Amino acid sequence: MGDVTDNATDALNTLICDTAEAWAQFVHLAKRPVWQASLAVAPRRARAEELFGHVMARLYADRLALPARFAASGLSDALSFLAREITVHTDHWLLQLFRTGAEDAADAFARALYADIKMWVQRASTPAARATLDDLVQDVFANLLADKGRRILAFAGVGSFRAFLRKVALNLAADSARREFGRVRADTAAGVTNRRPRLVSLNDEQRLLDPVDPGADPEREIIEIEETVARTQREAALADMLRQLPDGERKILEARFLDGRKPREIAALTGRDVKDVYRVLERTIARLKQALT
Amino acid sequence: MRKPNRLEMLRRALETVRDETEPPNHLVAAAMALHGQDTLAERFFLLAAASERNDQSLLCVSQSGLWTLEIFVNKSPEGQSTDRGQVLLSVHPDHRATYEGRRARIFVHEAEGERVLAEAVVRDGELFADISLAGLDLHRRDAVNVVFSTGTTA
Repeated sequence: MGDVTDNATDALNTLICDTAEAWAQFVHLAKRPVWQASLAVAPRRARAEELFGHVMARLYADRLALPARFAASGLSDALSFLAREITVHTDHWLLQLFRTGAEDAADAFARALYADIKMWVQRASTPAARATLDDLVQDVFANLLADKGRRILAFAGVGSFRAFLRKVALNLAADSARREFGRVRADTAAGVTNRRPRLVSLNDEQRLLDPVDPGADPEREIIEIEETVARTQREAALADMLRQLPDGERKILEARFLDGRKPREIAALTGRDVKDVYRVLERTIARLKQALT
Repeated sequence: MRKPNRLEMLRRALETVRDETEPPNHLVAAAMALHGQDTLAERFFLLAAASERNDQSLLCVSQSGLWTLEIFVNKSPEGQSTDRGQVLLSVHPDHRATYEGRRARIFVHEAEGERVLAEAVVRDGELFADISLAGLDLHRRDAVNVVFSTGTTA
């Protein structure tokens, strides 16, 4: 483990030499984390390849500055520093998707940021709101991604995108919690909280403060966003389950569903009994179905 | 975007888990080949950033998010917009070292080819230059491109 860390630090620090060898060594270090991040964020394989190229190009552009940034980061682990850099470049790529109106921008955004946004909202929520955390997070996503990511595109490009996003997400979560529970007020005498009932304006004119595209169908958009977020979560859970399967069982699934082989062929390939292959397929598919519902 | 069915989701997840250990060779080769390529490029779409027509200044962020471009339009003594202006390019502070001393060429694509608006060296993460805006439609038609190259730090 120590050797891996030392090698990573060496690969990062020798970038300052700006030789082809130094860059090749760095590519060997970075290729796997960049690829894993690309597959985790991109909705399709082609997009993952595009993202990999984008991140590598940005790392190359920054190569001479990386050693100094690593030294200034306060991190002792070069791989942690690299992960942080990859996140920054992935975020830029996401912004680019929104700016160019890519139809899978919301999908990629949910894949990249669901866990972080959920964590931010959870930490900032009152205990009462935590009971409905998933709804709250869904609400935040629906608002963030509404109007083709208008709130995300408001990022001015200066400072940290994650810090900006955290602020926006927490504001949206607070608004959502207020709508749900009313404003929370501490009752100093009893040491408990009172809730002011939610007030809803019946005057449509007041909504002009935040105008939306008249041609848009906000209800449909919200449903689509919620479905996208839910689907990305199911896919992430499914991938996690597949990673936890024993190698042999996963290979059987790959042979069946990626290569299109019949159970008899799989049995011949893997040296297992045909009944065993059927049993593995039935058992794992039943478990995966549960994850997909 | 079409929603994938369960089988497609399973296939995608299987593919992701199978492929995540190593990136494809052609991608790694392309990454290796970056060394020696001495240019970096940025592209700005004012259309995407401008919320309304503004005759005095334009502001937008590059597609990569690293650069901010501002164009200030000169005014005549009568208060009319002229076809001259200034461009200010500034890089995100984290990426200043990468671009320091690079020569930036700012241009738009026209039917006849590239039209260079300005060419100057980046100093302290910024570039400021006079430009001609005659015949440009930065709001609706012309995307601004910037290519940064090394070797000319005068």
